[in-house]
Amino acid sequence: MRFRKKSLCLAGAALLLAGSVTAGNAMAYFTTNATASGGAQVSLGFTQTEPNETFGERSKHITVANTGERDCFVRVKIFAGETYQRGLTVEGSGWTLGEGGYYHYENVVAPGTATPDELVVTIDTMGSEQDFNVIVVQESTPVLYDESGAPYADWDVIMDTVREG
Amino acid sequence: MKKIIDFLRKPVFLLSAAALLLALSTLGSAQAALNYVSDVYSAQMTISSIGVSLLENGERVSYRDYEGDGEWNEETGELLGYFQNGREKALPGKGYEERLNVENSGDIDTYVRVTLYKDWRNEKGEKDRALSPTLIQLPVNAGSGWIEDEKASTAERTVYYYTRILPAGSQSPDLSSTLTISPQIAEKAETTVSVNGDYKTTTTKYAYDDYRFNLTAEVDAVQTHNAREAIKSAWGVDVDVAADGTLSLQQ
Repeated sequence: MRFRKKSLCLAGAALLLAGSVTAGNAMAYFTTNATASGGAQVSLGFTQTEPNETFGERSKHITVANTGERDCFVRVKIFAGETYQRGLTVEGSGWTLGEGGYYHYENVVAPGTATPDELVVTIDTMGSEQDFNVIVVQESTPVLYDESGAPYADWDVIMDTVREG
Repeated sequence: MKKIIDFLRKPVFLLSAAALLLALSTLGSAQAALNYVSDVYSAQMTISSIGVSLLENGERVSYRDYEGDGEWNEETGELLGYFQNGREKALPGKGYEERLNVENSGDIDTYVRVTLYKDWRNEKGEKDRALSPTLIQLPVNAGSGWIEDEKASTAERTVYYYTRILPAGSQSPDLSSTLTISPQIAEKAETTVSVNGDYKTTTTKYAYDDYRFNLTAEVDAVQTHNAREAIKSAWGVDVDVAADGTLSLQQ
């Protein structure tokens, strides 16, 4: 019985020895690899715009200045109250009436510049002698770029300025 | 005589004899190879060389090719060099050409995979896990033969396998085409309102302004011979290999 146990041990050791000779071959697969890395900073800056207004006898001349660090699009909305709203005439080269009654300036406004074209609001008091306010709401949104690099505006991301007078 | 027989039956002797026989069996083949060489003729042995290169927009940026005698010809380059060279910052939403593909720069056929790592670093260069790596968008080209190992992929790491054999000297189709930083990065911002006379001004400062994104691409290649076992051994992945060599990941 003792001899049998020894024989089994011997057989096991011999198998292990033989296995170890071929193990090296079994593990030797051809492999290789290469790696590269890189990165860049993201430019977000900050966005800030301010409306500039000059006044005529019965008109307002509006431009919007980009005082931030990032290109932006701007739009303006004019309120004069229920009574006088119909008496307003709004026009300007480069400005287009869009959704929600906003006048959109068609070009990108770069930092440190203002819209070169004025939005002119002409006021018809409709025979009223009473004072009233014309409120200018100005909004801006940072320029985004589509995959082709073309700029576009996402008006869900807005910065606003309100001015009365 | 009985003593000799008893000694020969001893386990120690038997084990030693087995080891000696095994050693001698390998010596024999080595000796045979040596005898084959003569003064007049020399036998040249061709050793299979594996090699792989990572290409970005058609340019070879990193490679590692076996040259023989334990020597490798290798170089590690940089991705997104156009940002460094132009000192340009990445604009959210803008698409940047980022065509990544793989060349088999060895002389044996291989299977290849690419692992992409993406992360964000703050101004101090520290990794910021609060900002999702998914905002660094580098989608795989559909129908290009590259498949994602979704089980191995995380927000930071994406693993792609090229499903066909990449023959020696050839290039894979482009894995990707365009890199985009999602405009969503501008959604986290701090807003301040200042009053100037009769109007108020809203200023928005973006939380992730001047953050840096990093992209790392790691390409692995393995022999096609005994592909299943080789891939399991080298990459730890279970695959199926069809008769035409097409690779698929086991679910």
